Amino acid sequence: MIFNRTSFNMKAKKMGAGVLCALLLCGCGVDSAKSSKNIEMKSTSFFAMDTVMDIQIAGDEELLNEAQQMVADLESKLSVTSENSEIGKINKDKIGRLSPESATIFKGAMEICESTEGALDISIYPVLKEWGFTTGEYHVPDEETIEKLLSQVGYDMVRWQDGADDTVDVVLLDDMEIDLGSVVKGYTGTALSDFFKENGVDSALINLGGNVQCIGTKQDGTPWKIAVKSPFPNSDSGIIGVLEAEDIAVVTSGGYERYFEEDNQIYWHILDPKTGSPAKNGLVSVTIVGKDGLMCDGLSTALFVKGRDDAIDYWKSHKGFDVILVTEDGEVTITEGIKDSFSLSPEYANSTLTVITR
Amino acid sequence: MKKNDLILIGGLLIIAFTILVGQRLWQKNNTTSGAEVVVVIDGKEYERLPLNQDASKEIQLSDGQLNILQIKDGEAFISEANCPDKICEKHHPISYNGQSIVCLPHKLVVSIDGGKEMEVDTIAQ
Repeated sequence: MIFNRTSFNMKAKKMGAGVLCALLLCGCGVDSAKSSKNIEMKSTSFFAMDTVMDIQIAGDEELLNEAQQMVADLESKLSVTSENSEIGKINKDKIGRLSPESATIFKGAMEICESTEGALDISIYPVLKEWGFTTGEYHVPDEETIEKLLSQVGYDMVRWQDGADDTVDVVLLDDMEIDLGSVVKGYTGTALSDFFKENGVDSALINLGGNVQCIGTKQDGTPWKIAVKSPFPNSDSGIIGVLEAEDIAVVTSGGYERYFEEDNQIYWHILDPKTGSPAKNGLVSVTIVGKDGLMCDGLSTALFVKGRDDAIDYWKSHKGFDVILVTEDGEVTITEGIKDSFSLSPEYANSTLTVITR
Repeated sequence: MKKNDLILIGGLLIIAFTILVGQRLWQKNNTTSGAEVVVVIDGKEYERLPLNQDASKEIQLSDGQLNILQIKDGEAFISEANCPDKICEKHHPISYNGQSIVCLPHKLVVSIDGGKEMEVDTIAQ
């Protein structure tokens, strides 16, 4: 290449102009590029199913209204506290029919009851009521009362059969009551996610009272960052770790969600269906990560009841999900599927983190 | 290249930088200052308070519901409530956008608006 004064001069001028243009543009250029490429996120927040629901989607606001209606419909069918819901009627009359969607949820819950050998039990409701966890009027029941109530607790004593048109007929013993609350929010998260996807939404974050379900990634293409709440009350950040997630459900169960203290003892709402008392098997928080929100929801409770070792055994013999277990002494155990996407928060950086493989 | 060209380029560069820095500062000030604590009761906004001013606020409704909201050192928390479960009292103080304290029995939500961005998008709990 022949070097001469003119070409240098030209180059310097072109370069200068180029740099100038770049500098002038970069201030606003980035922002405008983002907004032209991305759809605006719309969000809503409302009370339903005894909790707060936060939904944000890259999509039309009308979809959020429809989603809220879907939640209200499910609640009216399944609410255990309403006498007129399908569940309420079954609990009152000890016999009744579940409509197709309720039947799907019922069967999904029963499958988890069976596969966890009753660590999840949809018929524990009368015991939960006795402890006051459904009303907030807490008290520790005496052993006799618990024994008596437990005699009619057992998912395997719930009689049911498929009815016409995808319905299910359910028959209960005289003192039995069932509640699908342990899987309903998880089911709803996945149902909303499916609904949004069918309507062209490719980025969304759904948080139903702490049960998270996400669609795709964030609009900038990076995964959703889903924090897992620290189960320890003295935590500064309130977060034990962060999971980077795409198109998946993340459901956490912990004793901190609902509890009371009596005589320096903490009693939480996750009951062991075998004892009728709060499940204290060394775990303080269980998170399930998987595609099926109903399964994640049910398993988060069931594996909490099982304790760390049995939870790991269950994971090893079942597919379709990963787990994050936190024990009362602060150790964190995760399964291999999320070993690259989960990290402890800075506050817990020095905690023991164990990865379990199959 | 003439001396004047260099002066022109230099001058324009300075202007460009000034605009850039000014814009960034403006953006920064508009996202981090003016953080507010928003109180919503049963879906309706009840009150907004600045997060950078310490305060103690009794939120009393006609049916006897009471929650006391405290703002201290840039964090908001519920110090007292007459709800049955008192879960709101035990919640960590909040200071980031997207964080919230919920008192379910009173259908009350305290959240942060216009504050610092949290490093996470949501919390599974």
